[in-house]
Amino acid sequence: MSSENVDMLSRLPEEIVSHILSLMPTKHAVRTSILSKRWKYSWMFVTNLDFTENIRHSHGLDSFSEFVDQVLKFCKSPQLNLFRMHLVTLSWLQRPSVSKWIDKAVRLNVHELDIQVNVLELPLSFFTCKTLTKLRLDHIAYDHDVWESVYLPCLKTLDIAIYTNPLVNAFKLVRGCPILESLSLEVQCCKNEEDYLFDVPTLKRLKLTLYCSQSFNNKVVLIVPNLEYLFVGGNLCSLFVMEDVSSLGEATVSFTNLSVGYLWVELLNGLNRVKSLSAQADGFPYLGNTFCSPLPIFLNMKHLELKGFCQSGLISKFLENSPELKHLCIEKVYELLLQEPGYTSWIEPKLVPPCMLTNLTTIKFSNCKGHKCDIQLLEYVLGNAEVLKKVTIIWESLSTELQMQLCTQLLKVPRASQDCEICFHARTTYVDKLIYDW
Amino acid sequence: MIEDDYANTTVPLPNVTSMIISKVIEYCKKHVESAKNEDKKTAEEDLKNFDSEFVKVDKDTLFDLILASAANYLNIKSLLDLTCQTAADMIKGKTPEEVRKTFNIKNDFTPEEEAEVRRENAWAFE
Repeated sequence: MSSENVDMLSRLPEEIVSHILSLMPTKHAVRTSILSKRWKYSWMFVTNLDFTENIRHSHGLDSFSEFVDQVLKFCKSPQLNLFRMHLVTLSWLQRPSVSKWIDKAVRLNVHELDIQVNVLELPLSFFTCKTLTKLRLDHIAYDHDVWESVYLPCLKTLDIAIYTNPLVNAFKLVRGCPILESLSLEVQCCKNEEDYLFDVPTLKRLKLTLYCSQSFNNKVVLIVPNLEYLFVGGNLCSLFVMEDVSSLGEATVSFTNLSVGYLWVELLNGLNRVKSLSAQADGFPYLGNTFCSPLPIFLNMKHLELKGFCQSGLISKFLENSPELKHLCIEKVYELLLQEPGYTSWIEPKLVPPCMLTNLTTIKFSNCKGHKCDIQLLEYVLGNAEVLKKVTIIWESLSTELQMQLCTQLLKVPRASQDCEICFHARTTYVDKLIYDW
Repeated sequence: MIEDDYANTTVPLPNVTSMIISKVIEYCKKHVESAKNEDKKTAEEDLKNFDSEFVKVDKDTLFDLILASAANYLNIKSLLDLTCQTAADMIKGKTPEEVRKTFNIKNDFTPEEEAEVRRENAWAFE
């Protein structure tokens, strides 16, 4: 039966129609009221309310507020899955009644709140909401009121981005969630704040993005025995103390500014039991000088990803210290300056790293510009890694001639592993892939 | 059916053609395989591409897939979400007149009734 003339959409069962209308911004869902009589009231049964607006004048704010009031009044869903309010208004306009709207959402037994507004105000009912499982707060400023004591018995996921201080309220929220599993906190740190203590036994995932503008002598202490995944980013200005990260399997560290070498090494020391590590920095500190303690040994690490300006000396140190390493990914960024010896040139390890004898199976080198140290590294690995199965190299901005030359050079290296396959790819050419498989 | 302990029970599916069933099976297979993939990043991207290609079908097939994935016995939530989101994307961003045209919806409002609905929900139509 073709739908040439048949209106299949209107014939769908009401629950499915509500589901479809719940998957679009509320403004569009309400518009369907005009399609036909059958559609007049369908929007009232949506389970998600999604208001995203950019308001530039007070008339717009008035009519938007009326609209939200109207929608909340007629919403017939006994339980809201999602209430999203992303409202950017000009700062001199009257403040919208966000607190009243959040209150209504709480009374509609909302599960997920996603709020992004200029100034955050929260109603009393919010602080003890029994149905909330997921909360996202992203705002530019908030009233400096200290919040009520918080108790959110069902909250599992919390995502906060705060740019005013102090962080008292944010931590109150964290402590008020007895079953919290996933936390993402993005903050601007300032001097003279207390140490940040994360003592959350139920936490499985933690993402911390800390932006520090001045020297900041605080500690970040993690007591998170069930944490499986950790992300740390922003700029690194704090000393991380991993008091209990016994379940941690995977960690990602991503910093723009890594000038303080010892803080980075301390952080890595705390992560020395992870199975998978991804480290990204605009520039990794030079670890060759004697003021810097050595890299820890990563006893369990099977996956390692290094992104950024990582000198060959650092890569070989990681190889030496990761006996179980199976998969290595390098995504390089090249700087023009720095001529310090050892910083960019390849220094052959005294002994072949243990991982290369029994474990290292794949290497992927992206963004490779074919510098001498890169080729030396690749030649060393090809010549010494006995169980290597696949090497993938993605050339970046190289002429075809140079690519051919380097490919040939690498293919000629006698391989320690008979099963080893080398794949070459190239970016910035019109040929999508150049693959040479031997 | 995984919750019930009957691995070999036949599942009654009235009004679902074999074409639709094979598409649903294709979807389920792909998602199961993807979950087994060790390289999570490429698996995720690969699955996204599969999903967006999967719903590039005519409207008839889309509605049949919606009904099939919602069917009580199958109840494949992720497929239901994917197909409903596709339908939602076809509705949002269009004027009411365009939506009516796309889906063959007959406008049975009188002009006065239509004007009243527009007034009641004025902001949505701005």
